[in-house]
Amino acid sequence: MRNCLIQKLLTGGLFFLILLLSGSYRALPASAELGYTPVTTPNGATLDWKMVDGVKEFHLTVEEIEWEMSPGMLIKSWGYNGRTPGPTIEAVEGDRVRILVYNRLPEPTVVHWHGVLLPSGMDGVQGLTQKGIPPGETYAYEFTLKQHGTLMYHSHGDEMVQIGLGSMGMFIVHPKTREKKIDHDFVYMLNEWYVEPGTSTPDPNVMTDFNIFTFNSRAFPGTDALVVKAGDRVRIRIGNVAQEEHPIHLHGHSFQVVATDGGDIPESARWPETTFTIAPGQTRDVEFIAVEGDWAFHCHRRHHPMNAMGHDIPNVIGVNQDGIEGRIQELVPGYMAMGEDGMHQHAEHGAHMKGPANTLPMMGGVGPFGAIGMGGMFTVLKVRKNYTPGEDPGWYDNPPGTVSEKWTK
Amino acid sequence: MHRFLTRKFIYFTAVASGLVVIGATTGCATASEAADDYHFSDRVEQSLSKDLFAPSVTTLMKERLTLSDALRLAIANNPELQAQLVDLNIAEANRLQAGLIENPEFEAQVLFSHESSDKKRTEFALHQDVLSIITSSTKKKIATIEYGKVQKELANAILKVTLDVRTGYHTLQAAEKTLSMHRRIAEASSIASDFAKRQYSAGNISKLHYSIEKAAGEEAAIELGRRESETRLAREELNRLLGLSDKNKHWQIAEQLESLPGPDPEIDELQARATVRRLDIAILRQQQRLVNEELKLVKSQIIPSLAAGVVTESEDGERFTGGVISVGLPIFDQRQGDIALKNAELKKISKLLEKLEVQARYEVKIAHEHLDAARKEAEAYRDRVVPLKQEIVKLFEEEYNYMLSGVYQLLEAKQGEIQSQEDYIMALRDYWIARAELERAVGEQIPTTEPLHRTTRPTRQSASQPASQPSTEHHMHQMHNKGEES
Repeated sequence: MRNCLIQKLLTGGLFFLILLLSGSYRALPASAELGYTPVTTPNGATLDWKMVDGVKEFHLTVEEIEWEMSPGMLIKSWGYNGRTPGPTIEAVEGDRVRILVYNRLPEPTVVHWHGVLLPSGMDGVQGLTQKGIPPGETYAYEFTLKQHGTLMYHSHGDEMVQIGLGSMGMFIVHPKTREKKIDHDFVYMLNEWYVEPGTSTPDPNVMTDFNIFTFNSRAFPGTDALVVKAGDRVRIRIGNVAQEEHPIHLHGHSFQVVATDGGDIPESARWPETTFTIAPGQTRDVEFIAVEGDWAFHCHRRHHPMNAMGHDIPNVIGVNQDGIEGRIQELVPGYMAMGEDGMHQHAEHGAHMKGPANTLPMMGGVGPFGAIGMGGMFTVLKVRKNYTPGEDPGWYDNPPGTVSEKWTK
Repeated sequence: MHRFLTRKFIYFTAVASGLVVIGATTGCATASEAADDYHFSDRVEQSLSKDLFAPSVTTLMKERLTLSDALRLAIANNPELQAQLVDLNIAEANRLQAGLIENPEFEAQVLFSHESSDKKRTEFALHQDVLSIITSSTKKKIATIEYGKVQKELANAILKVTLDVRTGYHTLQAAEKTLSMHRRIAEASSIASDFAKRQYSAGNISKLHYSIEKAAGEEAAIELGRRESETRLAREELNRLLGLSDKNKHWQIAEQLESLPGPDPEIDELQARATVRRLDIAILRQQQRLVNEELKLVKSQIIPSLAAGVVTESEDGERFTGGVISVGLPIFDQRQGDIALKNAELKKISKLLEKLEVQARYEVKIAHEHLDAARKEAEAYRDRVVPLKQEIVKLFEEEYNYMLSGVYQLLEAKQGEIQSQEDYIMALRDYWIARAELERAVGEQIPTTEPLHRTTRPTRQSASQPASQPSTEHHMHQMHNKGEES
């Protein structure tokens, strides 16, 4: 018995030595139970499945739901399984998957598997590859996954309305084996919305002048922070079914773009970025080694990390309002002059001012040094040496001498 | 002595005395009625007396002019009404005169003979127009009806003055109230213009946009000037109606228009009252009664003359005494023309009455329609439009707080709110003027009723003030100030 064990150990060790000496590191297999490191969809969820006769069977129900974009703002959405984006589908290359789609919308719908290589009739294009799923009925999609990567699923019937109201989700296909272990795998879906202030139904007729920008259908300060350990390998996957391209910037890190919606980028072809752009219809994966600190992670189009603001309001930068405030207060007692010195006043006072019902302040969020003054596509990557998984570690405790302060010398 | 107390003399004396008594009696009755009439005139004259009835000018300087004061002043100071009061006095005098019978006539003749100087004939006669006695009551009745007609004409004139004063009063009230509101609208335009100037100075807007705002500010100032002028004109008009001199023009009108009263009477009821109560109809009916009595008088005068008397004459010492009666004989002239004339007048009056009754019903209907429309408009503004406009300002404030709307939109919304309050005041003014016109059309005052209880209503005491709105929190302003202090 004892001899048998020693034999196994020696065999394993020799095997490992050969691998090591071969010059190509082959990672340990992904999670022993699942075969992969499951992704985390911040503010989202992963879709459950069950094996039915060797087929991974997923169930999606598309229906009208009430969705919180951020505390204080609820919208009417057409989501999957009570969510927008719908729960992330995770599978492994080679899996045969069956996805049952139950339509509870008031009009026909289909689901397109964006980027998935599959039979034409399973592609999910209403009128072209199939008949639209009538309201109240369930259709089945079944195919074998012949690839791995970051893919998407979304409505392809009356897209303008249905995607505009949130009918979308991420579809992650893991490779059977992975070269490098990923410690944290985050998934984001981008979207833009127009929600008239004071209302709760997004207007799908708006094509360009959006006012709410979301990570996983959440707007800051309603976006969860990403919490990882210093030194972890982090992958962030982003899909975009919106109308505009989004240059997503991560502070404090340089990362590599490692995959597109078409597949992995060979290592020699990967390029470094601190900002990567995802156009509508694209997905991009980036990887980096996490560095300790609190790091902003946001779209770099200035308008996008902000919530709704009026685009036709007067430009009051540098406009002297002495004397005018008092005159206006004679007519409108609650009036307060704002904007002469920039919009930071709004960030500071937004929490105290009464705004339209069901509307987020343009800028919000409070950090350890005061108002952050952001919204929309913004969140924070918190990297710590030590933290308790599942718990927010609070704000980063900057080492002495590493915080920008008033110069007194 | 004995000779004079002959049977004939006694007869003469008795008849003469009787005539005197009849006349005196008639005259006395007329005199007592005249005394009553004088007291009525006295009362009317008192009501038109500046000193006894109208408020003093001193009082006007200290307190605000109420509608009641204005009406009393206007009636007391109106020269046309004063002149019509004289007509009433004239009618009174005519009535007094009409009740008096004609005086008897005494005739004496002394004739001397051409043949003999001793012979002379004397004749004494006493005549009394009997026809005047017979017709005196009819004449008096006619004069009484005429007097009643003049009374009604005076009342009608007073009613017209009342309508004019009420129109002028409410017009001025509304003009002054809306002027104070419009100053705030103009102030908002001025602020917007000033704001645009500052933006332009900072290089934030083009000259075009600045010019647009500046022009709007100028036009608002022009509109304000026009309103101020209209208010001054309304004041002058009311001064004219009140008959005040230049030195007594510095009074202040009651600030608030009266709120809408309870439900207005139904049209059918008002039309029925109009045909009974309207003074122009009453005047025409009085004229009808007058012509009827005149017809009776004419008919009673078919015998053109009737007189009776006593005569006594002596000739050559011999006295003859007897009675005399003279009667005009209606052989050729039986007053046919005059009778036909009166009948024609009656027919004409009858047709005019028909027309006037139709006219009255029509005027009441039109006036009621105006009243109803004005009420609905005032209620709509009070209950729905003004509260909505106030809500709009509040919602714009919320958008402004979140930088979703700008200061121009906020000011415009505030202007809209104030304008709706002005429109409410004008609708309320229109209601009260329409009510005065309706009362004129009906011919009498229509008492107001208490308003029905409403579940949501602004504060009752002032129809002119907007419902109070909770002001937006000042916390941000306090914090703003704190930020400046630290």
